[in-house]
Amino acid sequence: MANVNIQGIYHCYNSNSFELVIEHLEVKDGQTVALVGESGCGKTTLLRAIAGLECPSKGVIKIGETEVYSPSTFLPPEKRNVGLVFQDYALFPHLTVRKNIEFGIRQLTSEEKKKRFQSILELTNMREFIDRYPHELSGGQQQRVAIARALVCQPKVLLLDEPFSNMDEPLKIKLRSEIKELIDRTNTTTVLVSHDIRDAFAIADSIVILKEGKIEQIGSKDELKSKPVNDYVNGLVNQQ
Amino acid sequence: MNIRRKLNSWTINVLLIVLVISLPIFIIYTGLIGNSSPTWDHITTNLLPQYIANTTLLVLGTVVLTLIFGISTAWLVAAYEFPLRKQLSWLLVLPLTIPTYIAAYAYSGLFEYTGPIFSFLRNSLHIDAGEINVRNISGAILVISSVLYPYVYLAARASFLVDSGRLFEAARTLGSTPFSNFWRIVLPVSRPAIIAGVSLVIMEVLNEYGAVKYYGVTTFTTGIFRAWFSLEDIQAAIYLSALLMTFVFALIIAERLQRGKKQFKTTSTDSPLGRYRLNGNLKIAATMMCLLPLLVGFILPVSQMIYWATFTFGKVINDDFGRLIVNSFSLSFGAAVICIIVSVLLVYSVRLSLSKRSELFSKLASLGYSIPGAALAVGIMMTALFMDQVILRSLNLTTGLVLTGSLGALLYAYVVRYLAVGYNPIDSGFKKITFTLTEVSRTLGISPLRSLFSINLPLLKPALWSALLLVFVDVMKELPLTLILRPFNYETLATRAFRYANDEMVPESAPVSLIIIATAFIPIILLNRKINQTP
Repeated sequence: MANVNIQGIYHCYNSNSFELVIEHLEVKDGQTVALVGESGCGKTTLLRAIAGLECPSKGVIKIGETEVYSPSTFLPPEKRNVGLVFQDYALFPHLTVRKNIEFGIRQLTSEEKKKRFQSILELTNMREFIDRYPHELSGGQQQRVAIARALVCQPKVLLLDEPFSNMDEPLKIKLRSEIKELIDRTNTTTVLVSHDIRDAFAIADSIVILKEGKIEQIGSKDELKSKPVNDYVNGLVNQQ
Repeated sequence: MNIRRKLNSWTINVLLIVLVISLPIFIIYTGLIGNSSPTWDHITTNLLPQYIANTTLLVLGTVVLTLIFGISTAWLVAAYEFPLRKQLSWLLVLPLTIPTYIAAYAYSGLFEYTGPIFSFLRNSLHIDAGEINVRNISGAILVISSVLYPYVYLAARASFLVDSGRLFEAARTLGSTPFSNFWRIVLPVSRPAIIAGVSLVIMEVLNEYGAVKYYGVTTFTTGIFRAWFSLEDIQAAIYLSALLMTFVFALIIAERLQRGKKQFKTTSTDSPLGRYRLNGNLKIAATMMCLLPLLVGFILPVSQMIYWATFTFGKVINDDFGRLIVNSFSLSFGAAVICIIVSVLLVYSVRLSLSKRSELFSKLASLGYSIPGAALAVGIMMTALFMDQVILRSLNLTTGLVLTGSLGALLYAYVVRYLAVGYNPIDSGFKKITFTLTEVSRTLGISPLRSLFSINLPLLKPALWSALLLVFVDVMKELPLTLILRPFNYETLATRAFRYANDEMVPESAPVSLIIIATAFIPIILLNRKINQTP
């Protein structure tokens, strides 16, 4: 678990058609921050930059005390110890649930591996389908496996990319509370990306509103609701 | 109204087409009922073990080499950035333009005592290195692999690019290195695609005749030719064909079964694989690694052919040469048009029959592609003889042949063998046209047949063109079927190249071979366009 510090990040896509400019953003130890905005506002790009899957043009990203990105440093994703849960879960289709979860902890001793595996099973409550293949699971079960696979590595930071998209409302409500509980119990620093403000309200301690690659406002649910800085934020937070 | 009637006219259409297409296969198996001859005893005792051993070795060797060439190059161009990567990504497909028999002739010439390599060593560097005899089974494996590896390359590359990107990223965030990811994630996920590519290689190797004959390797295919033409025992040829076909069908079933439960249906969306930029010596090594198969599979054999053509061109260009071109082009065009018409009818009938069974039956029509040419030729010949007997009986005649040895039988053979080549793009094309268009036109009072011409075919134009082209080129390159079934004294570019090579006039085959290669370039350019559309 660690804090994430982002300074002066600039990223440009396709010859100036899109710019991501983040002057400063900090996610404290154990805090859950949600990046919210419309499609194409740069929230997933920022998440991928933290994971090391996207290389910004300039700026500094620190995870804990480690500088993972700066003009002179680039730590590859496999060395950052972040847990990224993709929008489509990206479960390895040729591996069972058990093998998927064990994928990131193969370097541990068998005893330590067993301990971690048991604890994540208890936490995520999926004992009954550990020998199934991903395509044999429901959407909600797949999501649990993806989160378990990320959490079992005890990542410094958990990154969730649109975890509730393509779900119907009752399932969304159920999974929001499940994820919130998991994050709270493991006390993991988390960055969540969503286009739906309700996801952020349900899970996040702090919410970052992004528009066209720039931060409009940062605040808690109450702060955003009571003191929106402009009409855009007001429209977004009071849409429900 | 219940439109899902079990047997409507469209289902009957499908059944009729499938019956006509699969008739030669059934006829080969019915031929097994006859008594075996002393020749067959001789074959089983003295020749069959060698046919089996050589064919197995040829298949295994080619599979190993095509896997090495195909997967390594596909992985490099998909996952790494290095000089000439973009160009190499489509240049690596070019060996597919060269029929295996032409590559075999070229390599034989390249490495003989008077060939360019050893002549250069002797004359310029004063090294007398003798020669390398490639006319053996090892040479055949190398030559055939060098032109067939693109089947594996294309399948693997497409899978690496489309299926693996998001999984590769996920594995990296879980601490796995790119090298480890290749073995643990990318390769297992791409396994079905790679096996599909390898299956095509195996089918091509089993179909192989020109190269193995020239290199003196006795296989099942050369055995069928020998039984028929040298031993003059059609029953033995039928037995060999049935054995070979059974092996192919077992292979198809094994391939389907291995997909089984582990179908690797990915739950993630397609995401392009992010490329690593290679630096220093690594990037030069990557370029060299990709250039090697291109050099072996295309540049060397084509250069040899061009070299030969420069001094044999004047000798072989005559009136007869024009006739060869007309024969080849008209035969290929005719076969392609028939394949297209049959494919359109088949796919459209399946759509209108609204029956799963019809869809299943229609797959049977594409079985011809997996049957080695020599075996299929035996089936077609038997079918033609059977039909001739029926015609003679109905006309009360005692002698005469209508279909046997005619262009009609040859065209029928091409259609049976290459229907799948035309069927697949047309089927994909039809799938892109929503069926509601046909339904709407029917509610507006237009008959299904009119709807086919006025709605579906205009929308299907790109698929029709690509199907036409693919069949055209395949027929141009085809050898074993044409050799067995062509009318007396009727020659095509492919059979002429084969004849020159077998008369030890290999340089004379070069101009003919170059025309075949040049024609095969067209679909490769189209393929390149498609490759460029992918990330």
